[in-house]
Amino acid sequence: MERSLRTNTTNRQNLRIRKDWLEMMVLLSPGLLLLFVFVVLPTVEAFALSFQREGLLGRNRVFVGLENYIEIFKSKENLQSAWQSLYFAIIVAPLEIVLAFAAALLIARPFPGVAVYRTLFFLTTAVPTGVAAIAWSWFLNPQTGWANWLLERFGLPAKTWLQDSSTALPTLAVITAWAGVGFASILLTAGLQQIPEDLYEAARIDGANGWQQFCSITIPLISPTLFLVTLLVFLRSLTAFGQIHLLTQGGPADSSMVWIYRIYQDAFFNFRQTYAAAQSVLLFLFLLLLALLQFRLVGRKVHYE
Amino acid sequence: MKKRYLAFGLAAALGAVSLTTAQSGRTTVTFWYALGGSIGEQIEGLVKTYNASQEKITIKAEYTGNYDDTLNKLRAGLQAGKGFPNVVQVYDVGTRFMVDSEAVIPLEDVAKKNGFDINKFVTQPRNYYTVDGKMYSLPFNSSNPLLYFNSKALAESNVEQRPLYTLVQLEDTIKRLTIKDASGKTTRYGITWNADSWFVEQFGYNSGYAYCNNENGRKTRATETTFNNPAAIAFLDMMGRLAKDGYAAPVGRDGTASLNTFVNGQAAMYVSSTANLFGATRAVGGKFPIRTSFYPFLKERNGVAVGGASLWMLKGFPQIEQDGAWDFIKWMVEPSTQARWHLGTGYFPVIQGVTDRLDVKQGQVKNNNFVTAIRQLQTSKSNSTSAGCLMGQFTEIRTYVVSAWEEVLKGKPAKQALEEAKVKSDAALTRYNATVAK
Repeated sequence: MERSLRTNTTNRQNLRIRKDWLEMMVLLSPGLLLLFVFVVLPTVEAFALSFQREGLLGRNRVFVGLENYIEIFKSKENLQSAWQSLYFAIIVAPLEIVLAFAAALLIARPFPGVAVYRTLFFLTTAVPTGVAAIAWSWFLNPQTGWANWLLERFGLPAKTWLQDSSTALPTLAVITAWAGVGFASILLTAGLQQIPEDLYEAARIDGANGWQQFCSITIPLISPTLFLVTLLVFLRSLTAFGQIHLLTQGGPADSSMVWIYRIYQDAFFNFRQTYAAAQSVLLFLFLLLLALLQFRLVGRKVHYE
Repeated sequence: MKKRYLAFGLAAALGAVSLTTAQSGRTTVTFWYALGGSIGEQIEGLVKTYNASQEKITIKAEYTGNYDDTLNKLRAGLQAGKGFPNVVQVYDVGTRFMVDSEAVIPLEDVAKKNGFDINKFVTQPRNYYTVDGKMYSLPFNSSNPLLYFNSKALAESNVEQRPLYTLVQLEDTIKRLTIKDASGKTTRYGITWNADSWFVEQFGYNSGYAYCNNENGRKTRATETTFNNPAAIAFLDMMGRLAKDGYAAPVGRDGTASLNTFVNGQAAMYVSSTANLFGATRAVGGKFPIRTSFYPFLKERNGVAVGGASLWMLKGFPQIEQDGAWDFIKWMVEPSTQARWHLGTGYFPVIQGVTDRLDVKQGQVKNNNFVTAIRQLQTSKSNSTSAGCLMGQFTEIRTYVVSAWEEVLKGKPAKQALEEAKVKSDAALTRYNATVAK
């Protein structure tokens, strides 16, 4: 008697779970379908492609095992591109975080006209990459741009920002950081607004100055957001594409041929799609590894409430 | 699973474009072209005239980005098996690939069937687009590179314009046309010359050097590049010197920036295709008269190759569309069309009987720069070197040559830079040849 009752309850629970699950799947299916078609399928396809070789226009595909991967590791250019990507991200991330954090500190607390500033800071992200890239190319034009006009006003020599292989990649990094400031500062502003005001009040009563408050309250409590934003910015800068495509196309002399741009070049310009697929699998694994590393190394030190 | 998922977005976008709809009994024929700016306006004008001139065919012309972009979009479409146009404009260096793709209908066959005499074409463009003994595409816009001069600057610096320049004479002229202030800063550059592989190719041809082996890939398929020749080396080394010492404007790869530098009077000379003649003249307006000279050479002049592009007809469409496509292509190379095209751009006519027309003669009297490219073509020696290199993967190989040019601007000796580019290029060519081996 007792047993049958229990079985009955379990059955009912199972039924309930199954019904919930069914409802969930029905509601999720449009999203899942899109995700499957546009993310999962291409990823699987790229993975499969990376073990093949093909003829003109994708004809005569054959399985070649790890041949593409071996070729990548043998190629000096690919290693150089990987390094350029890292170098790029190492400039972009700190610059963007510092700028965005400064902006966030300014606009986190309400003051008259704060909305105007919030809009202004976010504008860099709201501007489409194409528009921003063209505006930057005018600004940096060696002969007619304002950048050199300003430099010359201060008695500094004019520069050929994007046409010089020693300055092209750093210049692109600054542009990328600039474009990301809006996005990062919004996230950081939200983080700052989560910090309870009474903590600052208590600190002030205890006689803490602004700097002490910043170090002992703001930094520890913003650290989870800061960590997340750093991770996002770093990973995003490793896959920055639009501005590079529009401004330098990997040049001059391959100086801005970052990993993602080389993949594009090989896949859609040189039409070595299986080879490019292998490169993109490697980039994917590399990004995954970086994210895991950051979680392990930095994530531990982050203060979670 | 087809590769279509990989380029899903692109293929889908292209697929939408190729849907052919028949409206009011007219057959729609899609045409992809690759020329923007003032030249693009001319193409749109021609298409409009053609559409208005008859009632059977509507040409749906689409600007598909520059030559590289257009060829790459076409490749993506061909690979997906859909989303490619009836007619496409492909540049000179895409010729080998187009033939190898087996996706096109040889236009010589179509011409014969329709009683169109291909002997009417001017010899050089006809030779350029003859592959394995057959004309696969019809030349539409043919060009060669010219030296452009700001004649006000010539007068100011008391420099005489020559009809022909060896490299040494050219470098000397550029230096004399440069103006520097007391601190040594350049206030007017001698020349503006954007880093473009085409200029290296043409300098080699004009100096008598082929760009790839097996007689520029004309005798049998090219298996190796030969651009590390004395002419190209001397040329790039000169570009390095001119950049380092402030004689050449720092325009990088950007052709538009180069044109603007010349138009604004910031450089006394400009190097570009004759195709930009109309656009440059219009942009300069009345600021200064433009003069033009033949493209330079190392020591002895051989002749330049035909640049520009040709029109191709793709397989896989109903006969009625193929007929429409042929009618349009035929119209595009007619003397009256070519006359208007020549005077509206600067491309030289590809078909005989254009230069005898009254409108063309009048146009050329009004602006005699239009004659320079035609004379340059007529006085070029006709050999496999000036026929131009035919090889696969040319687009990729061009990126290596541009990189070499930029390495030289950074300070690398041209010989080394070109030899490094050759290694990469030959690998690309070998890879390509393996994919089309039968």
